[in-house]
Amino acid sequence: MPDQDMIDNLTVPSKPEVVNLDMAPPPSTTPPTPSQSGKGGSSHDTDALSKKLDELAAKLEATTSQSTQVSAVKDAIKTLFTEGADAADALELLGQFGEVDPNVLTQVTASVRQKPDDGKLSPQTQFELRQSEAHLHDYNEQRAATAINRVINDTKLQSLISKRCELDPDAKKEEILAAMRDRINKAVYNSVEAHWGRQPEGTPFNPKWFDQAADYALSELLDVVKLGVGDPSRIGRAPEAAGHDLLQPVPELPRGKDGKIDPNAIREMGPGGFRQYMAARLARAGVSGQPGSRV
Amino acid sequence: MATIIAGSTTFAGVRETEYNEVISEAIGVNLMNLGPFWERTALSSSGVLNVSTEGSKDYIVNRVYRHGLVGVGQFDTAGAMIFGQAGQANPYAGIRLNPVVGNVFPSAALSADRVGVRLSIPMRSQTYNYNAVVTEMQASGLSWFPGEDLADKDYAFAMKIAMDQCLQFYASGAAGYEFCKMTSGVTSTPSGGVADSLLTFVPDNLAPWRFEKGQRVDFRLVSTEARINEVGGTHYMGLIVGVDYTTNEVKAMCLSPATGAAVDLATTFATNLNTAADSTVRITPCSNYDGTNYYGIAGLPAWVVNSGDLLGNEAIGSADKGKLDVDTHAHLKSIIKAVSGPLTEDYLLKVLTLARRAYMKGGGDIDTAFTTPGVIQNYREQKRVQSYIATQSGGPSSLANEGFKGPIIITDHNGKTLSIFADDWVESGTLWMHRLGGGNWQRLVAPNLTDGFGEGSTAASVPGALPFHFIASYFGFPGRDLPLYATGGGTNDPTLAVQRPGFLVYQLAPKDPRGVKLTGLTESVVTNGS
Repeated sequence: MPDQDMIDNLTVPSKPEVVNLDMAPPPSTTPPTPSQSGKGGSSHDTDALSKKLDELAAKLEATTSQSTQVSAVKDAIKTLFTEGADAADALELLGQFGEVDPNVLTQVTASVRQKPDDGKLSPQTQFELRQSEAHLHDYNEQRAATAINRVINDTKLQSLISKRCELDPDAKKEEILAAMRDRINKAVYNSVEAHWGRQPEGTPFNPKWFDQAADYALSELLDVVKLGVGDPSRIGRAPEAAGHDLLQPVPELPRGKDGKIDPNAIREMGPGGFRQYMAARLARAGVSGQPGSRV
Repeated sequence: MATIIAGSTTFAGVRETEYNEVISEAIGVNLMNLGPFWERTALSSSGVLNVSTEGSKDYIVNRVYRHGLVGVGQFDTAGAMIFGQAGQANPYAGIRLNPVVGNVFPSAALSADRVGVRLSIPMRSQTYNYNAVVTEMQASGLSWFPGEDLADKDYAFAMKIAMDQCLQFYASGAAGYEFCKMTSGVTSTPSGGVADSLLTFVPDNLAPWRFEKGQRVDFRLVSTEARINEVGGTHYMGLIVGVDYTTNEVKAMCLSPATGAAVDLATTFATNLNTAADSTVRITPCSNYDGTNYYGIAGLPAWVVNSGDLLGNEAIGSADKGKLDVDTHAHLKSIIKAVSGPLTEDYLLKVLTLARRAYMKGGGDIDTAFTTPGVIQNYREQKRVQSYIATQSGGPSSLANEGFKGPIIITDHNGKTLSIFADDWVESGTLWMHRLGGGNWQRLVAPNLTDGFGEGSTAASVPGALPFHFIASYFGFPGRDLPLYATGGGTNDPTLAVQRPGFLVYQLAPKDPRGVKLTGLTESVVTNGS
């Protein structure tokens, strides 16, 4: 699973309309009580509410435009609490929203966040909406994890890594996969974050970006691994395309105890040592520019 | 960190940044190895501004200098400080009438004040290019191919840029950043079937290490700065093809831009290079001359001046609003002395005392000296001759640690030290003193040219690194390669090669420009294989 700090930091950048999972409910919010949050404590007519939920879900499914959906969800939530629903029921409803379009949830929660004191939503409603944010977070995390797993489990990639391990007895598939997962995680989360940052202000977050980023990461990764192993069509026949071992960590220039680059240590590397360092950096940058994959 | 979705931070963008970083680092590492100056400079964007407000990419650095004292004071008897002393005489013992406050303080209107004067420092750009061929790129991707071919090429490219910077720092822009002049005794011989095509000369400053095989140079007449290797607007760029350190000989050719072939030096040019005398021809990097200036970075000769404007011809603006004339602002004058003899500790301390006394009030200092290994060698010999047997602290004198593991360090009469470094790029017989502490010398970089060179990047952390930028990505190409086309016959046909153009925009400037220059110092060197 992705590192939790990374998720917190990267899926929730500091844009004003962004869902911030670390934000505690404001003091004015009524904390949930067992009778409010427990399903068994519900005081309303369960059958009637169930029927109401079905109607709302149907209404949502019938809507097509995003703005209509936003409006419909807002109405649904208000109606729900007017009918006396509790948090568990709300979550159940929001669970259905997740299947509709997560953007809608983002917009709804963002609008609530921007107008916390407009009086239109009760403290209880606000609390329940924050619960929905948690739901959205879980949804995004799950979506990202699925996308990243799809890359790791890609048959071509697995095959290339296995082949590489055959060529190099010291290589361990588990270690390579672990290192690779870390890189993919960072690449996917960073690219999604960067992509969102480039969108016009107010653009809602779209979890589909995780899939797009993962697709691209996979294609790039296959190119990289080909450099390390050779073209898949030549596996077992042509070790000449081994090229630079991009799966090895790129060396860093020596630093002193103070963390600064150490000129004397660099001098000790000599031109040869520095050229090796350059080659590793260039190989990493090269991917397709470094033409091992074109040999 | 790599990002993947389209935009400036794409995977392609990351490649470009990586390339920029690596070359910038390599320039820094090469500069560290070429001379001791660069790693003692600070990186800064402070004061680097657009020349105009219209988004111009022409940059300028404005510095305001203030000097002098503020206020007025007067000395008087203590009585003047007692209020009422100037009142009427006592009508009775112990009583005073109509006390008057004495005119104790001098008029503030008489206070001197200091006025800032502005120095404007123009930024400089340097453009570079090189090529790579598909076959070598392919070979470089093979594990069994000997050597890191492309990395080796990049390293040498960075070395070329670094050598250019070293030259610019110590050599005068007014003299075209000359590598050297040719001594008499220049010879040329046939090469490759072309008569008189291989020029062999000895640098007049006995500094063949300023040259390296593959360097492109120009030959210019000292009297007019006219480029000898240019005929009818066609520039036959000079190429250094060999350096022989045992004889100090440098070998060069001039190549036809049309055919790439070496030309006959005696017949192609108006001035016959193989009969040129030492004082008439200077060898410079390939740079343009506009009749007044060569536009390189401002090196020491532009700052350490004792007359005229700081930056000389390259100063911009008007008096005190861009230009600073040290004849007007004498406190900015540097000390320049022609010694004509060996460097002795006696003389060094005298000059150091003079300089520190002169620069002290402006907050200045002198802490470092750069000179040639030959001058230092001669200095050490002088110390032996003069039988310096004790250091000023009373301990026995030791030469063992002077200049081997670090600089020679001498101590003045107030216990302040001066570090003396040997630097191959200093002109023969010359010693420079300047302040390097306190981040006095800055590598000034335009703030929006810091991509791949920003705060926290490895490149910016390498002492002396300079921000090199490949431009391919600006045209939408991933990484740094642009196609290299064969022109001719009205077509632009693609070739098996790529080109990698890029640029460097920066300036070197000290906050305190005042220094010391000593010339005519005796060199102790082994020359001509003797």
